[in-house]
Amino acid sequence: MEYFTLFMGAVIVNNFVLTRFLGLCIFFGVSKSLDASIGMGMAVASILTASSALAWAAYNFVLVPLELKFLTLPVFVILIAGFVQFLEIVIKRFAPALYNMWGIYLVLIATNCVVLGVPLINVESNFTFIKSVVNALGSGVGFALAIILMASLREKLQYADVPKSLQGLGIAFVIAGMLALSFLGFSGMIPM
Amino acid sequence: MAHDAHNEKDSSMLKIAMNLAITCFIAGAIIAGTYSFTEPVAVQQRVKIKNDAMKELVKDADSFEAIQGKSDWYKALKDGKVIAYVVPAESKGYGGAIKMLAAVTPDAKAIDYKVLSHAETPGLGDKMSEAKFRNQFAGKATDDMVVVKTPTDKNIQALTGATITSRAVTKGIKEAVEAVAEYTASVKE
Amino acid sequence: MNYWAIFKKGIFDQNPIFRLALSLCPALAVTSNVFNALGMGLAVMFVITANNVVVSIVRRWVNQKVRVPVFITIIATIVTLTQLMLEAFLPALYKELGIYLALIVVFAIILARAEVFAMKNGIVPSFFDGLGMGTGFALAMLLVGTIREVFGTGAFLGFPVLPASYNGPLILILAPGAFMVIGLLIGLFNVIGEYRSKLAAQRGEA
Repeated sequence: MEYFTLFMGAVIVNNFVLTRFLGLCIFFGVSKSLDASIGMGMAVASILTASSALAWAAYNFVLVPLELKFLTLPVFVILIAGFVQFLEIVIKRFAPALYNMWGIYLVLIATNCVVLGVPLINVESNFTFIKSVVNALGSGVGFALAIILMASLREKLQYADVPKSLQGLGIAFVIAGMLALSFLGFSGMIPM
Repeated sequence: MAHDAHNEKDSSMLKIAMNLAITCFIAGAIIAGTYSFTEPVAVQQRVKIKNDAMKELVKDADSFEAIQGKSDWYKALKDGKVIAYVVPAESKGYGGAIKMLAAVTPDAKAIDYKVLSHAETPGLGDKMSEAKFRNQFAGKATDDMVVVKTPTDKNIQALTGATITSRAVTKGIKEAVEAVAEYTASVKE
Repeated sequence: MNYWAIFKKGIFDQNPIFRLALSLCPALAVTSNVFNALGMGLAVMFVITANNVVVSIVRRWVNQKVRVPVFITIIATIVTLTQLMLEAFLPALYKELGIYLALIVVFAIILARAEVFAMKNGIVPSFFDGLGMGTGFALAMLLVGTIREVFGTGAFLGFPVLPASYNGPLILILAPGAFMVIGLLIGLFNVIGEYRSKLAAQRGEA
């Protein structure tokens, strides 16, 4: 039950994109098309979960015993970027079809704030291994949910008569604001 | 030919590895050096912030002393006499945990509190840190710490639009006062 | 090249937030009041300038193939130093910025300046490029922070500037307000940009 509330909290109540503003570059960059958003959402969710597990292990088995906590940030950055790079090579080699679908997103994910932010929050909150993974999975699903919702809204928007100066990014922000407003309705539902 | 290409690849791999290793080593050394210099200052700052917070809560006190066996409990002393206890208080609010520092008199009445961290709604719930709401707790015993929605002298009037936050703060302070009452009773025995 | 021109382009024509739409996360997350917005702006300005200088110094020794990991390591080091310094000397700001301070590491704008500019230029131009971009970023943060704090709470840096009877729309301090303010500001910058290029075109004809 505890894990379920943590998961739902990360998906809806503390949605990383809409209430904590992480991963916006991808959120606005990719949400122009629905297909790309679905692929991106799934890629982020899986990489986020894997890299959180990895970062948790590095923190608790290496950094804490060696009293090198102050190196957390550089170690996480390099670890995650390296992991994504490694994944890219492996997928390219063994699953070219998957690589054709996801490959381009991997590069974008390597240095993305969600993928770095969630592991950092996990160690800061002193989460256990399972909690870290659940929180990461929830955050990833929340990201996917937000980007897919946003993409469907933006696809509809193509037929709307938007003032010239707001076309593109301007109106996308205003719409994201309205999406965030509706997600605000969930706040307080699951106290962490 | 193939052999040469292989060799060249090897040396460039080595070069790349060296490049990365040197970068990481220098970076680690610089950070470690700075850390050894800033960490003592940061520790001092944390102690100072804590002392300032306690001083703010119990203005009459001339010194604070940690209580043995209770983590983060302090007694506020004036002329060698205990005039208040400063204890941590925590409660679940609207958006997450509310962490507070509560000052309590030895005869189990609230004095004041300070919110250390919270995730309440800006502009509504975060008004719990304002003096107008806080002052309602001064001198109250646990029996009177009941949240009501109408103006009151006896109880605690809830913040407009933030009833859950008001209840959470009240619950946290009440528990802190109860804990102090329990402690003072056990010390006297 | 003219240093002033290098410095100036980051402020309007290539403003990281409003024109390039890079590094948006902090522009929304820590701009609910002016103090945090400005603190974050200055921290980024420091990191981007320092990184540009360091990259332009070491660029000769960095292997082309690993330049991105090396840059990331340099950025992570500078950000960690900033974190340690703030924790020791400005603990209040450190606490307010929280995780967003650490996330400066993955700001696209910083890596982009290293790649596009500092890798190809000397120390002095790189310094001005970083300073210009950083100033543009800090000014944008200040602008968003001012709008949100003044109209959301009626205060500037915590001091009331609007009459006490002003009951600000809370939404401006909350998450949705952040998105909408930035969206409208991007629109405004587009209008101004268009107007300026029209002016330039007219001048060219005349």
